[in-house]
Amino acid sequence: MIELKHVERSYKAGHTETWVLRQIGLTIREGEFLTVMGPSGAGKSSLLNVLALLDDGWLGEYWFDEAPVHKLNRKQRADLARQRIGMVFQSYHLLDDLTVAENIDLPLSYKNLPAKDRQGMVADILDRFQIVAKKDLYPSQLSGGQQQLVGIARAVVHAPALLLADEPTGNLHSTQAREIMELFRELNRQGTTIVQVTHSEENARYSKRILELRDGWMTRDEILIHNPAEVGAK
Amino acid sequence: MKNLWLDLRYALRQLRINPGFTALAVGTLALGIAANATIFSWINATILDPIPGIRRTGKMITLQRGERSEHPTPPFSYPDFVDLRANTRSLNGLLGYHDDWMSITGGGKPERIYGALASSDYFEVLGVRPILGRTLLPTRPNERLAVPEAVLGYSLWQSHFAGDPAIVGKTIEINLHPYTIVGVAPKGFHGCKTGLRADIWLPLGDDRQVWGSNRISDRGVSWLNVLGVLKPGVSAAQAANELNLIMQQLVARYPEAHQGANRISTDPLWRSPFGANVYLYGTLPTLLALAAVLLLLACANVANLLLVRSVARRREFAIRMSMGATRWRLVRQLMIENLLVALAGGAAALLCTVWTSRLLAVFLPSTTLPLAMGASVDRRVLVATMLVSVLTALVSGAVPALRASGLSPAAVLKDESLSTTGGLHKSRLSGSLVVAQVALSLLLLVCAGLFVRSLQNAQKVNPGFDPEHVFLVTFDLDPMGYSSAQGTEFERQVMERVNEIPGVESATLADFSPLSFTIHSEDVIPEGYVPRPHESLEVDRGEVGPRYLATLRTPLLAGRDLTWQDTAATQRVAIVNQAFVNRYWSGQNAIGKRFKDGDVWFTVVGVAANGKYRRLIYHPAPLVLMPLLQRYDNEVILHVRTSGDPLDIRPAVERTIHELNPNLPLYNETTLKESMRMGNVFERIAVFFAASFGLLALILAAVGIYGVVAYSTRQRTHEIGIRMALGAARADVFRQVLVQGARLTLAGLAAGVAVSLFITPFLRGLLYGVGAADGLTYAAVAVILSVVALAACFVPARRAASIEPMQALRTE
Repeated sequence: MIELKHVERSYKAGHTETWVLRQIGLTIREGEFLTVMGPSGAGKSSLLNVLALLDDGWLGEYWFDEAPVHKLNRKQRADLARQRIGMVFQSYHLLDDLTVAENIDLPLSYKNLPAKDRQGMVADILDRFQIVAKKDLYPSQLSGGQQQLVGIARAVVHAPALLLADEPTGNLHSTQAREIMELFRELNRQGTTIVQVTHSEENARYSKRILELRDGWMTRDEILIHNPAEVGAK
Repeated sequence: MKNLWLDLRYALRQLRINPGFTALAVGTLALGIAANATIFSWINATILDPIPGIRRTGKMITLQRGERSEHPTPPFSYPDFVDLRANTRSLNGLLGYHDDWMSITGGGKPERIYGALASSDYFEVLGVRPILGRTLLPTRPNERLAVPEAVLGYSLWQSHFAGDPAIVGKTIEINLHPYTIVGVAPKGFHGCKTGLRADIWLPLGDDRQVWGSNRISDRGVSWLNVLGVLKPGVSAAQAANELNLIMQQLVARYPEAHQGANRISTDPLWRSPFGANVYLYGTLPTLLALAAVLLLLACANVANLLLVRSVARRREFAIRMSMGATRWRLVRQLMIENLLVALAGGAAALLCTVWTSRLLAVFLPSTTLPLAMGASVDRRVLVATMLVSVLTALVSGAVPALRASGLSPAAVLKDESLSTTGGLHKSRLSGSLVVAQVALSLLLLVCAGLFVRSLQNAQKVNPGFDPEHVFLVTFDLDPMGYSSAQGTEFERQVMERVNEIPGVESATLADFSPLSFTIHSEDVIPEGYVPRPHESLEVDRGEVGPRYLATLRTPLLAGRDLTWQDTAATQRVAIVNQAFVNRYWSGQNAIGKRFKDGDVWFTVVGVAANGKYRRLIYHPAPLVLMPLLQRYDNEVILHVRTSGDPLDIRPAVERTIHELNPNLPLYNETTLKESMRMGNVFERIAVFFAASFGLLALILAAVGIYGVVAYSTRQRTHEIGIRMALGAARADVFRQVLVQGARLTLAGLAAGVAVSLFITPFLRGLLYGVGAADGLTYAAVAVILSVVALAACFVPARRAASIEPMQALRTE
């Protein structure tokens, strides 16, 4: 599904150039649940931003289902991201002035879908995530876990092939975190490819593969041999 | 477009949940838009719609003969008008008219109205159709005849006849002659002069009945204003060429009747020299330009508000972009918000303009003129205001929207503090906007300052007479049926008796009062003077009673004042002013010299000092004063100089006149000082609005400087905390913030001076006694702006100096 070849990313500050990704080569197959780990500043979020097509300043090759992302212009990349990728953030990043339903509708509204279709899709996802009763509430009226639930609902409402999550449980307590991770596992079972960034070993165990970054270099790429289905039962 | 409604809904919500921002932005834009809408409503009512109610405004031209002037007398005789009309091939129609006061008689006291004698196809050429009955008989032979028919103006029909639907066929008596009412003109049609309202139209041939003249057959008497309609494809210049060829033939055929300058020039109606536009077409566009500068300032202020707000909304924009919003989509959403703000501002401005559009009339003093300056908010003003609002949204919102949407979502979402990243560029842009604001404010204040100084100079100038303690009252003897001899005798008695009233120092009559647009002009031929080819010999002309100079306290430089002995039985005499002598008899003794007016020679018996009789800012023009007792005029203004308050004498004067004729209506009872306010009305309008715009600009600039300095100070709270923790004194911090504001102000002042030096020379024509680069005005404005700017920085500077270092560091 995704193939990165020699991907590099650096930031210039004055006369110095800081490398955050070095020679990343990575293949992600459809249906995978991959965790990216590493200490702070290792380049995890940078890699996620590259994958999410939120960042344009990288070098190398990026193939997304046969599409050479590295050859696409900004608009084409934005179109691809809009159609195929969903994003979940550590800080939820819900818009405070929109209701739950409106927040979930946000990515759909940028896809020029008819309003009727959008309403149906939002209603489906509210139902699926069992947050119908909260649809008219504003983010400030929800708990952290509920907000992240809405964040995930928003990320998957347009049925993306790839779901990217940056520390999705970083701001949640353990019970809420487990519920979110269960939800990810369920989405993965239903066919969504997931890439998450996390510091948490426990969350990593929900995935099928762990990638580790240090100083921008990929230092570990391990397929987990345990049965991920057992993780949540602990 | 599918999501436009969604964007609109979000935009409305954004504005609703930020009432402070919304109110400030809407209010600021409303100010700027209202200023423009107000001035535009006046331009709409005068320059764009010079003759309300007519068809083909753009195709019509006015004709002027002789030297171009801002105050021409009607330029054509009836025979010349007829010949021009018969021979022109470049015009589709040519109309002639003469307007003046007349009275409705036949009831109790005569009712004075302003009316016109009009050529037969007057209404046809204008394309004005009556709402009742018909217009004047369109057959040309009737034009010369005294056909007793009248077309009523709409307002006279309403006020005098209570809108009687059966009015056609009834009779109205004008100056003691009955006329059959044949029709009623449509509402809004006031005749052919911008700003003046005629209430009735009679055939040209009625000149003798109405005003007792016999001008219709005299080629030497110019009394008609003439308007024409250009044929399709014919330019005004081509028409003027053809008319001049015809005129040259007339001059060659009738040289005695065409002394002086005879060249015909044409003007579009918007700058017609007949009516108010001659004064307004220079002033109003200038005011509109100043209002546009004010609007630009308001836009800069709102742009700054939007920039500050966009920093606070970076997280929202980043989330939207990460959810798939394109930059165009974000810009669209922001522009919809801006558009809503601007349209709300436009709507508020329109409400305000409903009131301010009427302000033009407020500036007009009580006058004998039938002024009709009724600006209002009509469809054109509405559309223009809405267009300006849309433009305002683009000007104020485009750059902030492009800036706000140009962020990197990954960087913003990663940066949880969300406050400082990207702030540098924005503060630079904000700083540039403030510099522009100060520069534009300086421009407006300099313009206002120049207008104020100009008005001050005009008011300081010696008008050539003493306007204090003079009471004025007008009466018209024509509708009372007086003959010339009876009228002259009546006027002599009025002057004699009023002079005997206790408290009256001196009283006399004149057919004009100074600086109220009532003086006439006339072609005269000074003895011994050889005019240049096509030189105009038109001079200001007044008909005045005995002791006119003494009553007005105009210095007599040589000879004598007019006396009671200057009557029809004695030699025709006149007084000229110094400007007349300088122009025609320079270096010679004028006493005893003669000039010819029509067929009559007048001997100069006195030379008066120069005075201002039309506008205070005009240079003194040549003037002749002829004895009223030798040249009867039925409509005159009594000038009464008193020792006390001039209005106190009013009852005694009324009583004295009514002892002679109890039914004689008296008009325009006022003081000379009040009446002559008309002489600088356009300067006062310019000063009032330029000063108002300047004041608003000052406030907007102060708000802008305050906003930027306060915002950047808040952004630097952490930095200031560190500085203070490292030993910076509060005074250092205070000074640092002030210096920041001072730098912006200085840059703005420099830019403003450069822009103003480029722009203000265009105002030269509107200034009096002050140069466009007047150093005092520039210096005063710069000082005022600097003080206000520093005052605006004072609050944020004090706030910065009171920051507690530990708290500032903890906040970060």
